[in-house]
Amino acid sequence: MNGDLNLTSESPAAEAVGDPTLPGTVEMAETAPSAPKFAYDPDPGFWKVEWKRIKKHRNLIAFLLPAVMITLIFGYVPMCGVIFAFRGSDFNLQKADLLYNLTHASWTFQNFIDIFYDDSFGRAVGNTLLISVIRLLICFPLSILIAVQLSDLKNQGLAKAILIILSIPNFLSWAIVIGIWQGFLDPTIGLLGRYTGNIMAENAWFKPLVIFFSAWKSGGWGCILYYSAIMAIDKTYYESATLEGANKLQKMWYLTIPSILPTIALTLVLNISGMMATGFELVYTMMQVDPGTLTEAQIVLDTYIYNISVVNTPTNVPFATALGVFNGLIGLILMVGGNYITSKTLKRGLW
Amino acid sequence: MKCSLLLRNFKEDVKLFFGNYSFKHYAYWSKNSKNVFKPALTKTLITLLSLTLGIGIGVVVTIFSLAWLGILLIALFLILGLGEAIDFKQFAYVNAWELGVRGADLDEIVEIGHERFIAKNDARIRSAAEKNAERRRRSTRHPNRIRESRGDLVLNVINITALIAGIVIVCIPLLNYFSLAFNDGTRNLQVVIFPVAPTLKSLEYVLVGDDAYLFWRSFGNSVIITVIVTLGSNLMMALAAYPLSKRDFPFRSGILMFFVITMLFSAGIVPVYLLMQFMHLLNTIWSVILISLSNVANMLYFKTFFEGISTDIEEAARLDGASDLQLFFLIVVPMSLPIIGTCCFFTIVGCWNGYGTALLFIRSSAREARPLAYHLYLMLQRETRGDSWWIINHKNVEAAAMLASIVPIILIYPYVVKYIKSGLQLGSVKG
Repeated sequence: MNGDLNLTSESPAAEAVGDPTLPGTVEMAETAPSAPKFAYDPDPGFWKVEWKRIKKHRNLIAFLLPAVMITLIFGYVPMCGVIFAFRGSDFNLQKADLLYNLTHASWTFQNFIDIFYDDSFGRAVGNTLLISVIRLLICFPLSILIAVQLSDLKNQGLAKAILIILSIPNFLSWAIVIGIWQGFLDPTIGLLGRYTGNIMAENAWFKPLVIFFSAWKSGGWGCILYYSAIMAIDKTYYESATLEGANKLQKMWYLTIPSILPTIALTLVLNISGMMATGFELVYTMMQVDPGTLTEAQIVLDTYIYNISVVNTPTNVPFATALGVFNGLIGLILMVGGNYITSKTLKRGLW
Repeated sequence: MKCSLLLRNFKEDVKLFFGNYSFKHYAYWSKNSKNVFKPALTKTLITLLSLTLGIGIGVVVTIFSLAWLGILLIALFLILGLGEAIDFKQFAYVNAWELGVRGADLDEIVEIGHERFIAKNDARIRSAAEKNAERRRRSTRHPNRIRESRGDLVLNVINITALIAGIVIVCIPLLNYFSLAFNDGTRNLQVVIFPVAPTLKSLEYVLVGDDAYLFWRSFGNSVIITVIVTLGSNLMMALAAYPLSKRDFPFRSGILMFFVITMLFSAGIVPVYLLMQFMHLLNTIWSVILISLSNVANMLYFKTFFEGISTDIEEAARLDGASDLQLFFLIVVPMSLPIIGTCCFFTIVGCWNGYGTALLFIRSSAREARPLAYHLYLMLQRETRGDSWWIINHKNVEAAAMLASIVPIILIYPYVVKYIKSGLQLGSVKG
């Protein structure tokens, strides 16, 4: 806008001031707009500005096209599928072609009401929330704790080496992680499993194991963030704290933790917005290792929706879509709420 | 000496990777010992150990399974071990450095050897070493230093115990599992963290055995998916982020919202599945590729980074007559390599390890369209087969396949680690 120099040649300054030779019958309100007119147009209008910007950046618009196309096709076209959720049970893709179905099936809101009467869905939400909350309570402080401990070591080269070792599992596939622990907990050859039995196939152990596997895989990686935040703290604070007679615990509690509080809050909000997902690959792989025995794994939101939507797609498309839409709405609320909180408290959001 | 030249190159790589760790290690050794020859002794020990161990492993491998691999191993260890043994110049450097000798003297030592050099300049070296030792003594035992309290010591012990426990919890299952890959199935019970009955049968079965075709097929699928998604997605998102990083781009916030909405809300998996069905992409790798191309989170990271680049450089380039495309590829991309490298690495890891979308679109019966992680996931299901060798060794074969699958990630890691280091500090958002 600073570059917009519109020379208004058709409006000379004399006109704006008004004709002083006229008698004083002219009201003050009319002579009042003798506000100084600038050499350039102060308010060129929304469209004029935008058109100028478009002309300026006309080449850059082409840069956007591929991303916009992909987002349209694979982001917005499926979003139109929301209408499936409002169709009656006579909407069946296998019966006839798509177009016939779209024009002839009945409209209803029953699917969303059905969700609340679906016992398994309620249990799935409960299980998922339970796992997420406990995981948040355990894994989240764990990463911070490891980072604080590592930063406390005298030999920082050693600390970095430990950090690398602890973050190895994060770069493994969930299939490998489950394979490793399946081998470790194997009732015959496993180092631990020979004493505990095959706890991976036991329903009672499902939730603790999901939490433990998540912590094992991403705990070390999570603390890299906090570690680099702690390393960015000014070392002179610690020196003066030492001179004042603070011991290590006091330094951790009154210096380290408050300094990395923004990072902690940001990751906390990110974690909360991902509450409704337990990790589909983790749960589904655990379920498939011993097919049929681990029934508890089927009543987690990720696998429940997958089972309804993909394993038996043809049977009830509207209900499955309604489940997906409902889940997406919960995710939307968590994400927007989390972002609102971060942008209010930390002055920086996700976008 | 040719060997040592080869080794010098290798050592430089190692130094780049570990931040000059090996040198510090030797400096530490020599600092704590009055014996000048101690580093040389440790080096000799390492040489002997690597020679015996390497040749031993090589012979065992040659006898038990693959001749060519054994010979390769023997050759490798011979080169490494002999290179280590011949590399006397390194001793000279280390010892001289320890004695506080720098500059031209260092070259002289390399020329005539450290023993002759020491004999020649005995008095000078002695005084320098004594001065060094005195300085060290003063610095460590300062009369006014603040001592650690008892509580701090307890905390230290707790800290170190906890960290060791963490390392054990992470490493023991990993080592246990991957040592199964080199172990014979009949003696799996004794394995703790090393293979007890070393064999390469399982690895051989995975790489060149009966089912190797499926492994390599899914490996190829994963390579195709990873390459296309990494290049395509990051290029596309960086291209889109560049205009959006301009403050005066028309309808900037609206276009941004257009992208962000897809990140916030999705209508679930059924519509996407139906779309893929409609496009006849089910049970092909293209469904996985196309759905992973759009990555709005990466675009936001790019955008934030591009906003931080000074516009002066761009304007200077524009005055020189650069077009927008030239500006982007010759100025903006090279300046934002840290964030691009980081995002590329995470895309690669995500593509290589992920099989959630593949589970959606590709049925397990579509054997030739499965990505590698999907293949590994299917290996986890306990199949029953008639073959007795398979029944005994299936866990070992599984471990061997898993091990083979992580090799590409390990190979890529050193090339991107420098970008990740700087990229991670950019935004604490990346998690």
